[in-house]
Amino acid sequence: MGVNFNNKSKVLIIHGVQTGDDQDLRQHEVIRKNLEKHLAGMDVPFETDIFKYEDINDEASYLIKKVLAAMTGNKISGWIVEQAVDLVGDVGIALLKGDTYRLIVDSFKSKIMESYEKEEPLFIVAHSLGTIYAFDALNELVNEDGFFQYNQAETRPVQGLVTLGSPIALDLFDRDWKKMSSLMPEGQAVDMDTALFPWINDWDPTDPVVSGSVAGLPWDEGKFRARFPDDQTYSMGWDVMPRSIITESGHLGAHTAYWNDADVCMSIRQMIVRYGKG
Amino acid sequence: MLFKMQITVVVVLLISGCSSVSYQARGVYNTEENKERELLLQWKAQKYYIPFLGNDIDYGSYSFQEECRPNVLQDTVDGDQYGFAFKERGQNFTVISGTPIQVGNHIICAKTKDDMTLSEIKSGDELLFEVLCKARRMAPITPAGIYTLKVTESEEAGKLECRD
Repeated sequence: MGVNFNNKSKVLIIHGVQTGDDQDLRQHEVIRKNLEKHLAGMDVPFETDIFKYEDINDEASYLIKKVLAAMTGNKISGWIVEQAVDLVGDVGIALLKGDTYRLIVDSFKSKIMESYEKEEPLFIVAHSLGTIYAFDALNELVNEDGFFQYNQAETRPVQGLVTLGSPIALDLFDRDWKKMSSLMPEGQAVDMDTALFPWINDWDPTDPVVSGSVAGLPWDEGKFRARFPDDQTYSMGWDVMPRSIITESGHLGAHTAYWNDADVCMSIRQMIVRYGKG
Repeated sequence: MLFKMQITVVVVLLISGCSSVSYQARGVYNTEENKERELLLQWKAQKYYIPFLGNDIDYGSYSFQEECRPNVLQDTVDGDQYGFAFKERGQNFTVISGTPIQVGNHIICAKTKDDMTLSEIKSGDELLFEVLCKARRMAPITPAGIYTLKVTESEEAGKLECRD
């Protein structure tokens, strides 16, 4: 078993912090429509899918939401509290790395493996908090036996990663290059024949989830570069590409604007054209 | 104290200004089959006025693409030494025109011919843009050569549709 590059590429979306439930999640349809427009007239076959974990989070925080909502004493403030717990709870689950976090990472890995069993070239597009799950799942897979063998792209269950509006450079999440798994065999250095693993990180300078600035003050990629310095990640066989994307929607608007941004779509297009079929 | 901070944040948000401009540099390339293909180099500038911190400008959303060609360039460097340039990994691209320019673990794959930086390029300029490399193990990009691109400024991002 392994990836067959004659097969259609699959773009697998993992969403970020959400209110509502799994039924509300349609980002894969948005990306599919935008990619179809971008690639009209060009022979680049692909399909999209989504991994949803909102129901897992909702189940984990159900009791606390109901108790806190009941404590407010009226329906409107109860609803507001439920929504707030829904959002904050999602982040808390990722930070605490407890059973729910484990369930989400394992379920996501299973979803990846479904594609691998179908021999599909798979690309992950992760948004917001979903980038943390994607980063962790991917780095675990790199370390598992039989996968990501040196320069054998067909042994890679994931061919590339695109992260959008990721909080991964924030101290809160404690992720850096030391948490990444090397794709290089022990004692071997990267050379011109090394097939690097691509990771595009798209960020809007005013996105407060990326910068941690409540006021949405402009951010640059210095913080990301400090956590993921090119010299370190490159020597581990990764091609990390941070890209400033101006969505023209400031602050929180920027955080949700990635899905419809033409340059984000171009990042995904570049990924599947370069590392997909053929 | 927390309340004062929240008020400050809200005031800063309310009075800070932000506007963005899309720059498009368009030209043409004739294929070996004598088909005309449009070229589009594109980037955005976002300008801010932030109370007490002054003016600032961010550039981003860079791309260089050719009509009907799926592969695109998107990773950039911008500085006095080489001007505005697209960088790539030597594993994926090889320089076939001129002396290779190394930037860290990257090579320069396309650039402004006379080392112009983004802040020097203005609407109405005719920009000489040079493609220096070709893809090694992936879909091809626009062939190496020097292309003349006409720069315009717009509120909306440019589009390139495949006319085939």
